Amino acid sequence: MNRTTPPAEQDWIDHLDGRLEGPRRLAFEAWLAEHPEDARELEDLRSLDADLVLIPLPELSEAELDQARARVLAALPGRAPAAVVAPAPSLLVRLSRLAWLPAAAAALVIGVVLGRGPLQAPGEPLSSALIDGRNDELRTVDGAPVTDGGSPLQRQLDIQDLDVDRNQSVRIRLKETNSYEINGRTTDLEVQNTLSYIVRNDRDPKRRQTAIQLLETHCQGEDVCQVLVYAMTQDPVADVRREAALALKDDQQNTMVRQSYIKMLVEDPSPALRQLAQGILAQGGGPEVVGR
Amino acid sequence: MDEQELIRRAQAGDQQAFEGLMRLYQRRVMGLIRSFVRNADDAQDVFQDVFLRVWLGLARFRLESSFYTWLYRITVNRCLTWHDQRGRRENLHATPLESMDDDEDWLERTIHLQGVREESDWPLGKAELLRKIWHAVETLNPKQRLIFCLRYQHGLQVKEISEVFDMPDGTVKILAFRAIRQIRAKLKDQLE
Repeated sequence: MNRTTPPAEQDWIDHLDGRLEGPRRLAFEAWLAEHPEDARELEDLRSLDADLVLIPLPELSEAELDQARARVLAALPGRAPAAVVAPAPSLLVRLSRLAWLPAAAAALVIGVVLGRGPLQAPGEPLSSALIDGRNDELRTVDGAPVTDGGSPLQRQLDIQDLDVDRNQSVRIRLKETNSYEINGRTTDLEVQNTLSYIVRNDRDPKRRQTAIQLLETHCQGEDVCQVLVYAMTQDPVADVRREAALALKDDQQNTMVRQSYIKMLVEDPSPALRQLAQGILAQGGGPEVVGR
Repeated sequence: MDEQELIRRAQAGDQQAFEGLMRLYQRRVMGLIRSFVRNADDAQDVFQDVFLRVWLGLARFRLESSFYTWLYRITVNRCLTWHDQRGRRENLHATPLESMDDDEDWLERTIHLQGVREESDWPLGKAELLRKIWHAVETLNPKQRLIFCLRYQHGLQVKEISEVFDMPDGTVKILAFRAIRQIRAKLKDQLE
């Protein structure tokens, strides 16, 4: 397939994200085949993105930080903020306040659907369905591929693109609370199997990361450790390996986990991850984690 | 005491708990400020401004929200405000304030303290490469530079950065892509 016009910026971004599919991907790759300088740039950008994690945080002296804190405390107004923190209403109460809830409820159910097929029959194990359709994209119930931000409705509620409940129930994260639920089925084996499947097979690294976070939060046991060790040592994306490494940092009493950190320290291609493994091994618990 | 408890107590007026919150996040907040604000004294001012605003805003903060995202948002906004004010000061004085900068200093100190080894898989020594990358980062516009720092220094995901900046994921991706492309171009110039 030939292409005469240069690829759009969005094509570059989507390709780097692994989200460029179908004719757009073919056209982009045809362009790269004819323009080696662009192909080189793409590779440079990919490796730069992975390697820039070596940029360190500024080293700060304790004296500098002590001084900064002292200045803040000295400047605090005499009286503290008189906070009256009302208990937050439950997720369902907040949802029920939305007038369009009944009509939207069906649309809110983001099923992990087999390709172009409809929602599974109730009770059908989701992980089995996923395994049957291992090459299909995860899709929303209306069949549209899940993309960043999703539909206007999804954007409003910031619904995550991953539903892991066998009854196709919803995992929702409201923008204002950052909370989410898996309908209380937090240790359900089906959920665990599905998450494990996603960690091992999903093509979207972000979904793999999300699944690792959910495994860490809601599941436990040797099987979970094995899946996380797999992600930590085998996943091709550094961010996913990092997520798994952080998820396991409190499990160093497990020999398999500890050996995996040593393997990461010695073999991981990312300097930042080697450093992370070193820190976790040294501390026996783990370094301060950003963003969690 | 965990973060939630510290927040609750600080909301109730406990300054010790508030100091505990500061200790919990001081390296991330000051780290971001020092990466952006080039002068150590200015960095202290911005840090103070950030945490005073946190103190004053704590009453409205809801515990079920993400504290670090809120904190980063305040920090980013104060950094951008500092940048605007600095631009106005430079115009007022008609001379650049570069002489007050000690940006090079923190980078060199960081390189030194981290014991960065010269051997590297990269075409240049790692320390030298860090210097070149950082010089390239400094050519980014303020927002791109902050996004760069959050992404690569602080390890935030696109989703988290979009919450900090209150902008769509797609916009963050575009700004990050342009930033890295610009850095690549600068590095390429320097390597050739």
